[in-house]
Parts: sequence; structure tokens; C-alpha cells
Amino acid sequence: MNENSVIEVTGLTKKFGALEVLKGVDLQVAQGEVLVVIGPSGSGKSTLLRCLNLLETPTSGSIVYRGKTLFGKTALSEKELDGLRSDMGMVFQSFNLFPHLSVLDNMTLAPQVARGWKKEECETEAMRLLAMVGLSEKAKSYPTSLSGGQKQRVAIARALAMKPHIMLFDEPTSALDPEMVKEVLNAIKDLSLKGMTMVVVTHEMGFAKEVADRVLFMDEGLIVEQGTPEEIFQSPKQPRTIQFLQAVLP
Amino acid sequence: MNIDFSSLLPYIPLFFKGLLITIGFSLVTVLFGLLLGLPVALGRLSPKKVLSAPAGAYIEIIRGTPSLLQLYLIAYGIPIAFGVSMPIFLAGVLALSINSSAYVAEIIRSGIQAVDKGQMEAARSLGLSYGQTMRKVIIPQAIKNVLPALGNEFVTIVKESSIVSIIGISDLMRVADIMKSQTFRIFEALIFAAVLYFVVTFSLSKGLRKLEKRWKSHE
Repeated sequence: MNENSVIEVTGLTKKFGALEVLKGVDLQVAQGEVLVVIGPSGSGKSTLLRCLNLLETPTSGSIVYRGKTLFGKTALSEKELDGLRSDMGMVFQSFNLFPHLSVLDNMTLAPQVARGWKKEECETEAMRLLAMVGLSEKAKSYPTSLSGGQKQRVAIARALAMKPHIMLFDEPTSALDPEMVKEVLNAIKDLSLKGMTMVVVTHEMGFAKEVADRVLFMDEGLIVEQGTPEEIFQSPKQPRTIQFLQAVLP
Repeated sequence: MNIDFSSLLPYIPLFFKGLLITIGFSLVTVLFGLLLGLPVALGRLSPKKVLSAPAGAYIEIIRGTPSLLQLYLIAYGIPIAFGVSMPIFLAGVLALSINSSAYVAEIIRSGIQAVDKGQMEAARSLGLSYGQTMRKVIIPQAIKNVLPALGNEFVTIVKESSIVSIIGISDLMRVADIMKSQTFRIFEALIFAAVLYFVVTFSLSKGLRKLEKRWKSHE
């Protein structure tokens, strides 16, 4: 295993019944790297992301996270798995804030319950993170009173409150009104500047160009092509990549 | 015509005592029904077959047999077969709350399943265990979903509880029976009991609807 890898995926497959969504994916994510995954709908990119923290159980293959086998020949106990999951922040397309809790409680629940950290420390940290995403004044608000963009920024801050080593973004702007996409992308960009390791599944090509260290194009359950943003967007080599980019780029 | 509501007068204190017993009995029953129903619902939803299969069987059997039969079985069948003594109030509460728990379990199950799937995923991705997620995220939201249906279940129990008069609990129905046999004023006794039942169930439903509206407006 590469010393620098945060995640190393080998031969990953995932079947839903007869449907094979991932057909053998190999992937490494280096410390501090921003990996952006693009591809058409149904290409398996979201499933790949959801396999990384085992929200979906892969069918075969292996996932090694910071030297620990998350999935593979040896099975981890539920408890170890919960611990590793809490180390990987995830942001969803549909925000998934807890509607019965205030913004502050949304952010302090997991640090207190799963980590056992003290309430005051959690709240101080939550307020710091809320200030970072520009939502300090919303600490006492409930999710229903927030706009989509605000919800997603809270969701990002909530994931960060667990002090994760990697952040997984599953189409974080796909459910947003167009005028709110930017504030969320900016929050993600800020994170990349702070050196956070990230895997971002997105349809925002402009964002991919600007923020990615490496772009990965997936189609039909396989990685078709990967490289720097310049390589993928300026001189793609595979016919499928060229076809896709022609369809999505203006 | 042979109707004389003044015949009720000497029995009025007894009727109100019966009403109090009916209400108290129903409250205890709904509480036990809830305490029994919650673990059954959680068992039913469990991915583990050893939990979900018995929970499912329990629900089907209880809902598929008459409550009167269940009452007889607990009040008379079990004490005789196993040589245990069973105070009638306990027998009544047990029989009705076991019966209710099957319905409550289904109410809770559907309430939990109505919570968005993304909530479970978000909580798990933050490192909460299945149990922690249930306690802190899913159940608090499910409660909101199930409160109206649980309120209806309480109304149902107030009415259903009249069957325990058969085993001798002096609830409202039993008071009507007593007056019937002492005065032969069957019509008057039943009408008055009906009025009292209706006042309770109607104001309960009304109050519940108001509560529900207030919750909805808070969302």
C-alpha cells in the first residue's frame, strides 16, 4: 500500500440483484488530495462513494482506509465500523439535516454521542465551524427555516464537527436552486484550500476544473479515464469521455 | 311509553365512579400497550430474523383472534391451567394492553418507516450506531408521526374496555349492567352510559385534533 494513501480500493464490485453497478474499481486517494468524480447518471459514481464508508456493502473487492481494512477478507465488528465511519465525513445531495434538532444540536449530537466529547467543547467547535461557513446567526434556527444552500453549508459543518480525515461529497449541489450552488461550492473550495482530503461526486464541471487535483471519469461501473483537470477537460483520450464532455460542456 | 330518566338519579354517583374507572383503566392500558408495543415494533423492523419473525407472529396472532377470547384466556384460562391467582383488574389490564400492543406496534412501525431514509444514512455516516440512531434521530421524529394514531388507539381502548365489565371490573359498562338488573330501566341505563362514553371519546378526539394542528403549525 502506498504510504500516502488515505483510501485504497482494489477490485471493488457492487451488485444490486442482477444489476452490476460497479464492475471492478481500483482507486487510491492521497492525503490532501481533492478527487472529483464525474460521469453520466447511473455510471456508479454515487454507489462508489457510498461504498467507501460502507453505507452500501460492496459485493467483492477490498477497501483499506488509513491502513485498516474496512472491507475485504477480514470483517470488522459493527463497533469498529462505526468508529471508522465517524472518521469519514459525508455530505448528501438531499442535506439530511435532522429536522427535530436546531442547527447547533445537529452539529453537536454525533460528537457527543459517538465520540463522547464534552457538550461545551462541542458547542464551541460547532460555533467556530458555523462562522467558517458564514452561518453563525443560524445556530438556534431549525433546518426547516433555512434555504437549501444554508442547509447544505450546515451539513458540511456538521460533518466537519467530527474532525474527519476525509470528506465525501455526494452531488452536494444537485438539489439546490441555481443561485445557491455557488455558496456551497465556495464552502467546499475553502476546505480544499485548508488541505482536506476530499472525494467529490458532482455534475459541476467548472468546479471540477477549478478545485480538483485529479478528475476521474466513470461510466457503466468502471473508471474510464483519470488525470489532472487539464488532461481530462482539454485532451481527453477515451471516446466515452470525449462524448460525455461534448454533451455537458457548453 | 315507558321512559323515566329520573330513575337514574340514585345511580349517578355510581356512574361517575364507573366513568373514572373506565378512564383510569384505559390510561393504564394504553401506557402498558405502548411499553409492550415499542419493543415489538423495533423487533419487527430489526434486520435480524430471530427478532423480526417472533415479533411478526405476535402481531398476527393477537390481531387475528378476538379480544374477548384473549380476556377470558387471561382472566380464567391461565389461572386455572397454571394454578395462579389473577386479580381481575390485572387480568383486564393485561388482556387489553397485550391486545393493544399489537396495534400500537404496527402504528409505531409505520411511523418509523415514514421517517426519511436519508436520516438513518446521515446519522450512520456521522458514526452513530444503529441503536443510537434509533434513539436520537429516528424515534424522536417517528413520535410526531405516530401521535395522532396513538391518540385514536386511546379512544378505541376507552370503548373496547367495556368488555372487562364481563369479568367483574366495575367500569362504566358494569355500572349500567348493575342498574339494569336492579331497576329494569335498561334503556335509561344504557343511554346514560352511552352519553358518558361519547363525551369522553368525543372530547378526546377533539383535543387530539387540536394538538395535531398545533404541531403541524410548528413545522
